[in-house]
Amino acid sequence: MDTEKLSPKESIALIGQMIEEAKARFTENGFIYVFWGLLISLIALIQFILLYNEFYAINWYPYLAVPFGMVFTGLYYRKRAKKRSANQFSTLIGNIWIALAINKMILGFFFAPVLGENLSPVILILLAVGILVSGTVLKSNVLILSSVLINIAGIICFKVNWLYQPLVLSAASFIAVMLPGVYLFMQSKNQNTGFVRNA
Amino acid sequence: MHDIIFKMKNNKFKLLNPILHSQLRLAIVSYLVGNGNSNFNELKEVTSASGGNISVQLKKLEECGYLKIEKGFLNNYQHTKVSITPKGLKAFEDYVKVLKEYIE
Repeated sequence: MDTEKLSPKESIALIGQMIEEAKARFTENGFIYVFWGLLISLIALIQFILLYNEFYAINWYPYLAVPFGMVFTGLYYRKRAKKRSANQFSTLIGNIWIALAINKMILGFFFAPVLGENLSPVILILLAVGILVSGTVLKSNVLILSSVLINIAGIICFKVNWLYQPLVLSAASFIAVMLPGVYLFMQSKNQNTGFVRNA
Repeated sequence: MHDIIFKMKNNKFKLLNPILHSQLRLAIVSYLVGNGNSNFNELKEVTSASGGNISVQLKKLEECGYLKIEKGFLNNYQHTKVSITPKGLKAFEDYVKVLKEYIE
């Protein structure tokens, strides 16, 4: 691209193309959904196995992996920031997920005795809010549908015996977070977003 | 090369902002309008222009007060953050308005 002058129609076309490029680059490649979907699914499954086998005192130990997951996520986005600049949408999504993650950690590690059997449903409903915001901003119907499924799972969880709540959490994470992540990943791989390629 | 003055339907002449009416500068400003801000490497990537050319155009746009350029370091790498200013946004809106009038 050089500094050549344009006709009005070429100018309009170029403006549209660059704005589309900016929008297309603000996409999620799905990796982080696959990562968290699998991590939470495994953690909840291990918790269920521990509870089922009456290891009540250590049933929450698998959740110690969550802070490590958060550190990994921070490093992942830090690396990505070198290549892509943040815009108002990515900042909005980032801030919402940071707030939700901190609140979920506080609830899980400090208020579990207070919330008791209601902890898993509350965590799922908070997760649904985060996925809904991401899905809306990314205009991803798959994520919006996932948020509805997670919300329903959260409501169901209130009625499920406490022993089986981790199983609901595990299934919801796998189906409504991990699988959409795989879908986004495949979509991102197939997406042709380069300006040169579009030109 | 096209003229930058176009005759309107009512026989009036309107001037397209010569700073924006250049392929690379318009691409940079349009991208920033869509994204809010960007960095040197990203602009290089999306426009497929050479680093030298981008630098020259960024400097011109900065001199006009259309862009704000902040040089610094991000994760130990040199990082040039570029963002559009309110003046740049207004200039872009005016440019698009004139273009629309011409096309209509």
